[in-house]
Amino acid sequence: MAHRPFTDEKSLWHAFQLGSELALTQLMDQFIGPMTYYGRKLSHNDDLIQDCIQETFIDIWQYRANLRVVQEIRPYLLTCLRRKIGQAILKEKFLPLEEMDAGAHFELDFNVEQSLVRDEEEAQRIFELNRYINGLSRKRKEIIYLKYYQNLSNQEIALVMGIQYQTASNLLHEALNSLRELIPSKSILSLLFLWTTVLHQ
Amino acid sequence: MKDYNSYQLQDYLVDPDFQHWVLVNGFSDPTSEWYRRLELNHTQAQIAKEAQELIIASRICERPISSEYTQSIIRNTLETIRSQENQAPERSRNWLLPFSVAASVAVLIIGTWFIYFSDQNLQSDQFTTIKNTETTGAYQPIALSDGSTVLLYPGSTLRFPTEFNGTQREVFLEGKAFFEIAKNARRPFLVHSQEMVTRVLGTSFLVDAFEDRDNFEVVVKSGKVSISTKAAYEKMASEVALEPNQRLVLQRKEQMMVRSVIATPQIDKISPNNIQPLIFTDTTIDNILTTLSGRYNVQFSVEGSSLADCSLTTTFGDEPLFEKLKIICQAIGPSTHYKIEGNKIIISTKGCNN
Repeated sequence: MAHRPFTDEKSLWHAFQLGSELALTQLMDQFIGPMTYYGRKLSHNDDLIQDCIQETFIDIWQYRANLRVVQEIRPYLLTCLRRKIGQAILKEKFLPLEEMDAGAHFELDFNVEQSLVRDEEEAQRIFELNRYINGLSRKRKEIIYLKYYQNLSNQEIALVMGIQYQTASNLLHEALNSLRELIPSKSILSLLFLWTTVLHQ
Repeated sequence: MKDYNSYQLQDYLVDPDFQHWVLVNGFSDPTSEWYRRLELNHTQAQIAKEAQELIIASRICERPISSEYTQSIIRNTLETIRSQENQAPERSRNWLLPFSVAASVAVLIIGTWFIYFSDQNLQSDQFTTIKNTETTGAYQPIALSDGSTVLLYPGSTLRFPTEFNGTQREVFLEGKAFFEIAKNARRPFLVHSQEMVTRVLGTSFLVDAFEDRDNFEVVVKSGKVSISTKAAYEKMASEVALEPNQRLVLQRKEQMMVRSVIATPQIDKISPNNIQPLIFTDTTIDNILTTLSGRYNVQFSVEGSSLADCSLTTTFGDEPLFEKLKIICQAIGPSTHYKIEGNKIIISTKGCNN
């Protein structure tokens, strides 16, 4: 791990806007991980994701002095990346209109490592749980991912997905409701509890 | 001691030790603490199994990201922005001086720049940390790779790269230091101290920024300095520019910057007297060193051979201390060099014209 001289996000962003290359380097070191994980949900093409991340950083460096005040860095970078990947996918193929928004799919891979599962029965139950979650619509999966796996607020989710705050809140509500209908009550409550209390990185 | 016998499902879910156990081996390892504990308690084992399923099921399986992957993105990005800034130097947003370099020179520099940077491991920029632990009040002289001089005051710490590779020269200061920065309009010099960033192109100034103090201070002796704080940036106020004989006080609680004028005699009391030109006419090296020692509050010692019979005629302005020493050493002879040992500057020599 590289040395991270800036200890809080505000100092980091402040130094970055003043043109500190060390701040830029730390930004990349810190956020390439979450950006890549998010990128992989939007596209299977690793090279494309890498290019888009690079371009995101080059862009924000170029416009650094004119960038607005960023309260939280992570949702801001995810927003830029989502837009970049959307543009890149559009360039590559023609998509039907309703799917043009940041690529056609959103995939959460809950694949369970065999070594962790004790028996057939347990594997079956985990498989079911995964199937429920992956059975959600693309947008619902994305909002669950941003909420519980990138730990964004509803406001930030709205920003990243380019939708209204109210739309984001409704969408999240719908996503959780449909899970509630699908999954036996006890499990879903615990799952929600797990999502809201444990940070997944 | 946790009461594992009354553990509920949610207690298992948030227990980092349990999570770790589930993901590393879980029930497949009969020698583990959790296994033995649960084997004895059937009710708890049922709850733990449910918790295990949930933890496993809710984990997204991510292919790990290698450090090579991260490094290559960082390297590519830095290479691109560095070459862009050489191609089209930006015409000053808040910059103190606009760049103006002939196109032919720029092309030449881009060429060498690429070769230069392709060999650098950008991430592993080596940093050195020096702390002045002196109790006598002596300054710790530090020579930076670009020829700049830093005099570190007692109780202060400076962290700096052994080589400046980027488009900026950046150092981190905790405490108080006097800077004489070698002029380089293309590569601004940034001093980071907590929430304050002091930016210059080439100048001398004092930064007083001890972490635990209520106020930070910057005093400018020569050149121009701009200071910016996080708070100023949040209020969208631009940075404050300082000229020689100006002092800036940052009131940290209020994040307010107050600029005032400070008279030369007062500056000389709190910082080295490096501005007043030094004119030496056939002056012995020993006398020159004594004068510099008085002005900068640093100690010199001569090693190898006596310089009592050597004298020099020269004039110094506001160049950094180590630039002055370079000139003196070159004038004495090719075998004369300076080095820093502890807080002393050693001139090692074989005598004049040797």
